[in-house]
Amino acid sequence: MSQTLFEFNEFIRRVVALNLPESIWIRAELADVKSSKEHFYLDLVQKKEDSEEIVAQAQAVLWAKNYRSLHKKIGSNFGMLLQPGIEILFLGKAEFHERFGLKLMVEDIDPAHTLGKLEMQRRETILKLQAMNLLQKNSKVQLPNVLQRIAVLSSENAAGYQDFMKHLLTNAFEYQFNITFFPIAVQGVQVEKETISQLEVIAQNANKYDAVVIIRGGGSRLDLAAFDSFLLAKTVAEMPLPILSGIGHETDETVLDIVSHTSLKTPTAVADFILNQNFRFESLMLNLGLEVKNLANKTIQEKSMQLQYYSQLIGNQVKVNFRQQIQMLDYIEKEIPGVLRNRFDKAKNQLESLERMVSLLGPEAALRRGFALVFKQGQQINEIASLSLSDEVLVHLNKGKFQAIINKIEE
Amino acid sequence: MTKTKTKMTYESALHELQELVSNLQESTISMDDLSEKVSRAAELLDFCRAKLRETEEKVKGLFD
Repeated sequence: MSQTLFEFNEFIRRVVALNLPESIWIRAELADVKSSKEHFYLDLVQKKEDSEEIVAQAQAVLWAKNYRSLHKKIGSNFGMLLQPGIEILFLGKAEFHERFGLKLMVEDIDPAHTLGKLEMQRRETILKLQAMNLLQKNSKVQLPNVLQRIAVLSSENAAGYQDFMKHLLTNAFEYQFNITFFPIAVQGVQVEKETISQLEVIAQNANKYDAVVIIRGGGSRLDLAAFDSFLLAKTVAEMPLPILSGIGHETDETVLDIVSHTSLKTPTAVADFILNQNFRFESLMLNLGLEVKNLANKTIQEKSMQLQYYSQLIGNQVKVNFRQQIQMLDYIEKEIPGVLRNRFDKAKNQLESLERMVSLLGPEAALRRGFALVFKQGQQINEIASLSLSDEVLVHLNKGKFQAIINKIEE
Repeated sequence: MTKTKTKMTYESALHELQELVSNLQESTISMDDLSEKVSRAAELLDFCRAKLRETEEKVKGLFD
């Protein structure tokens, strides 16, 4: 005896319905999620621990009716719950359909389980990063004194990004910025991949930027779960540039926040941090300027005192010099008459001695010593040849003269 | 006398004056030139005194 397939499946349906009349809480990882008109079709898997090997697999459906009541109950976290890769704890009822096979009808989901699971993963990730010495690595990257060339990773539509840009660009200090925008998904499975690939692009041009900013507006813990990724945290930790993160709200700290250089509560706080850093530098410069001015003034004062001292010294020295010059001129003036007298005395003596010499060497001196002067016709005779016999001559002797006639000549 | 026409300085005047006096002391000036040289010395003395007074006037008060 045989059965049709429908008869067989109908039998299974009854077995399932009879044996599994109650809904059961089941833990499973979401492998894939598809939705259509608020109906969600879930591929569930269970993997071997620490492995990708699938040990169990099933399909589940969340009908629009249940979705609406769950969405109401769970709130904004709900969207993040139904993401591939997330483990959920759900209340499901097994139903077997003759054509579509076994499906689990999702009636309820416990978000606390997923959060707890994520929190555990998050702690494991932190421990792993700690073991690799990556937690403080980026915070040791030197933060430049001035932050001007900034790479911003965010989603263009994120409110946080708009807040950040507005706050930074309309700052009261009138600081100018050169912002390069790198779009990334800020929630969902794409966050890790897109953020890592943008960071790699930035790292290759690290000299073009002073800092990297990763921001998104606030979100639920589940929204932010994407920023707990180990690979993303590792990439951030190993960036050659300081990473400034502003992800989520006051109470949220993602793994990315922990490994970043500086983690701020909000995108606006990141903008403030950048402005403060620049303001600190400007203040430092202004203080240095003041110090230079003070030192210059002090030096000028010292030098002016020195000049005053020299000025007095010169004044006194000038007086001394004038006195010396006057004394010298006075001395010269007094010297002149004496010198002149000497000069005249010398000239007079010279004249007197010449006079004496003249009187010693003159003809009268010769006459006194017994010599005679002979004149003929008024001419003095110096040679015997000028005389002839019978010439009449006049002979001068001391104190008188006489006339004589030549009667003999000897040569 | 030509020296007064070119720009005479205190230093050049003093130098000439000292030379004149030492020439007088050493009697190397001829009697013919004597009166001229002595007049020149008096003139140089006057010049130096005037220059000194003028300079003193100018620097007075500058360093007090």
